[in-house]
Amino acid sequence: MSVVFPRGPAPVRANLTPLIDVTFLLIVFFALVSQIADTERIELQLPQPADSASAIAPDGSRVIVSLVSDEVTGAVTGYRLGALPFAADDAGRAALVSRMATFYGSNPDLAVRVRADGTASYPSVYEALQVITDAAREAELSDARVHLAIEQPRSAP
Amino acid sequence: MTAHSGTLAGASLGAESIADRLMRRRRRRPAFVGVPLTAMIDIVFLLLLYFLLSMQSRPREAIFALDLQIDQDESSTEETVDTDPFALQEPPMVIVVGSTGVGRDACTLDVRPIIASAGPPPRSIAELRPYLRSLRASDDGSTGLFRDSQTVIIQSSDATTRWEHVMGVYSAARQAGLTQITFEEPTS
Repeated sequence: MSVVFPRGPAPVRANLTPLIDVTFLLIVFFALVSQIADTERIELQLPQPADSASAIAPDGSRVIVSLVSDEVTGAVTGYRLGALPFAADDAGRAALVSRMATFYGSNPDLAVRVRADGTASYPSVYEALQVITDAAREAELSDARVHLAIEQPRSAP
Repeated sequence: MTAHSGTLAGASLGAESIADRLMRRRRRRPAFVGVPLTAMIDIVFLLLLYFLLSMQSRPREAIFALDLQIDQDESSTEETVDTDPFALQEPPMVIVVGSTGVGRDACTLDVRPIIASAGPPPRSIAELRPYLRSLRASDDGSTGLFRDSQTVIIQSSDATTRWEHVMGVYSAARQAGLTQITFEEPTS
């Protein structure tokens, strides 16, 4: 004896709403993260040593100092602390030292990542290292953690 | 007989009314209004793929981690350190780097002191790493000249020295296993 359903079998439908929710959340996340990274990391041609003994940049607490330099002369035309611009003169450097000392005061283990063009002159980068030293001294630290940024070589794993 | 036929007629009438009722119920039921989600999901996945690929296409950064020692009082030069007064001081190795143009190898090197037994001094960053490796002492100290704690000072020949060449020298020294590397203040 067979039973006949007058309406036919119930349709099997996948509930797509949670999938779409999660996908949109992922899109919003990637869009925001990429925008934050863009404002924090300006476009620079970092040095590319041939066989580098470098390490992958850790995800710990860090602040990024970028050096905006002239391509021809290699002289620094400005600094960026994260997204904040600072002039490459005495007043700008003093303001940068003060701001970084504030950061060091709140987090002594802060790592400062220095990003500079490969074409930047060595004296200008050394000056930036001196700024970091002055800020750490103002915050009464005994040492400062510095990360020199390079472009990851393609041969590295 | 009449009653029987009447019963049959009643039964057929009853069957028709059930069928009519079912048809009416089917007609009354509202049509399923479905939002076509396939196109939207396609676009959403394309956007997701775009953001993922655009993030990974950016060159990845690596770092050299170093600790800057901060001298709190620059004026105080007297330090009371318990050191052996008869210990021989190892002279630091000084590498003077200068830039001659654009490009990784467009630089000059001057490595001091000159060590005759190590062969000709390196003229490029590519030659520097094997040169430093050949000078490095073995673990038992039977061969080689420099320990890992050997101080290396990187100097610039003039103010036009590029950062990429300084970093090339620094990277070569790190590759050779040296850990005490100092950036000398550039001469103005």
